[in-house]
Amino acid sequence: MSVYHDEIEIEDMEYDEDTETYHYPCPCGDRFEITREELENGEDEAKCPSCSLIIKVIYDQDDFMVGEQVIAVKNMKELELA
Amino acid sequence: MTTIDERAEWAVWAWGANNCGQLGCGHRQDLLAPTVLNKSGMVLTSDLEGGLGRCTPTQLTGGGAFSVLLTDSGQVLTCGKNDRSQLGQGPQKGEKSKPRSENMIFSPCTLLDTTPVARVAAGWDFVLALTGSGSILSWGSNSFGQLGRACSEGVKMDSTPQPVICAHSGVSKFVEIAAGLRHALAISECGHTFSWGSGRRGQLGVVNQHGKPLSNSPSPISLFLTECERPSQVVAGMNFSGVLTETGSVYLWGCNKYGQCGVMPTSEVMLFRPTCLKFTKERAKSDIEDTHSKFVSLGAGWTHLILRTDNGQLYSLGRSDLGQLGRSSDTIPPHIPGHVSIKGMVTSHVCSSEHNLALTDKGQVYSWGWNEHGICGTGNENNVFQPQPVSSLVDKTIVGVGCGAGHCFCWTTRHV
Repeated sequence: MSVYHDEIEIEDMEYDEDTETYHYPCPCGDRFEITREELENGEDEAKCPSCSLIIKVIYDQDDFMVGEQVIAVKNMKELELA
Repeated sequence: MTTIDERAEWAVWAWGANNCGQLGCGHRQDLLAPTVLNKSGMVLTSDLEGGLGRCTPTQLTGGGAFSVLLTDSGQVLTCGKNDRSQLGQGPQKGEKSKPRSENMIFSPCTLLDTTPVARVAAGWDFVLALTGSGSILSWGSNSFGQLGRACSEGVKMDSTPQPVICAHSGVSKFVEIAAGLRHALAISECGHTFSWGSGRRGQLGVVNQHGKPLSNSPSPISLFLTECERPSQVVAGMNFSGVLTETGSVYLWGCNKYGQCGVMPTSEVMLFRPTCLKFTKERAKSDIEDTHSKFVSLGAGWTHLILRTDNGQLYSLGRSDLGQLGRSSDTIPPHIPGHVSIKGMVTSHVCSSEHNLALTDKGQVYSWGWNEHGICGTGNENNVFQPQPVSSLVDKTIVGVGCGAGHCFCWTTRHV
């Protein structure tokens, strides 16, 4: 049996812009949480701060690298212009 | 401030998860076994002077880390988490995301004082209240359209109870309500079934012009069931829905990942439309001489379903890994209704996310399922795979049971 309580698509998670955290309801009443930074680092386990349950987040890591790529391209252009 | 037990003629017990004070006991520590609220310092504001002391609870329910209490005078009280304004007590000042001590005790929704409420239903972070005059009021989160009405522009929550707007012609009154994680259901007096909110897993029971499930509806949408049967009850799980008809038929739809819609999960992971549950008596009654005639009530956990027959027997189907189905000893596949063995006739039953409570005609409370945070009331956190009487309540005559996502209540009308 899977160690994950569930597998949840990132589209089904809610995003808190203030804390840059994705979250999803946990059966205990608290929420499974994973930060944007963790997703960018390829982590896919969202944990509940109140209990032992863990969910696996289904997402495409490339979607979370876009920001850095844009910056990278921008820097390249700046370099070219320089 | 007045403590309830100075005047109360009833007692409420609470137990389970309590991370935001949803048990109403004034603190945030989990309670592994049923604890009397009246005697452990449950206090109420003086607004209730002469009110609640003479009233009894008719319903106690809850969602994710918050609770809703309804009294027989139609008054609504709430406690616990309020980050999405789910307590319905109007705007509160200060930080919303942090648990607040004043929300760790039940306080009346004074905005409802002039509107007696007949039933309440709590979703994950929103509430529906069916009023005595048949309208539905909603408050809390509206991120997925689960309030069934518009909020102020740009705001996806509302702390003020306001009526659900149903544009369907001829529908003026509702008789039943249900709230799931992010969707809601209702039955109108004229016998139509409505759904609204999130539909990403087919839980609205309505398909779009491309034959795909309607992913969202911000207002009630009528769904077709059957012309010859009148709906009598609606239930809403995490991402699935159900209707019970007056003749005892059960229709289920939405997410079927664990067989919670009564179909083998490997054949259908999602049912787009209401589908009649096939129930074969011979297969289900593995261990009892059942005189089953028809189903008379349903309860939905997040991913499992409990059905009660008119002779007080329970059946279960859906997710089973944490003991949700209470039938560890049978060999019936999880998606097929199987008998849940409980001593006596069950008169009422409720589901939390992954666990259940049943009340018998002798006033005994049985629990089973997931038991982290002590939700089963056993005093420990070992999952319970067969229904067990809640030992600390065996000498009590309980009259009602209720659940939030991970916490429980029961009550009696007598002094303890």
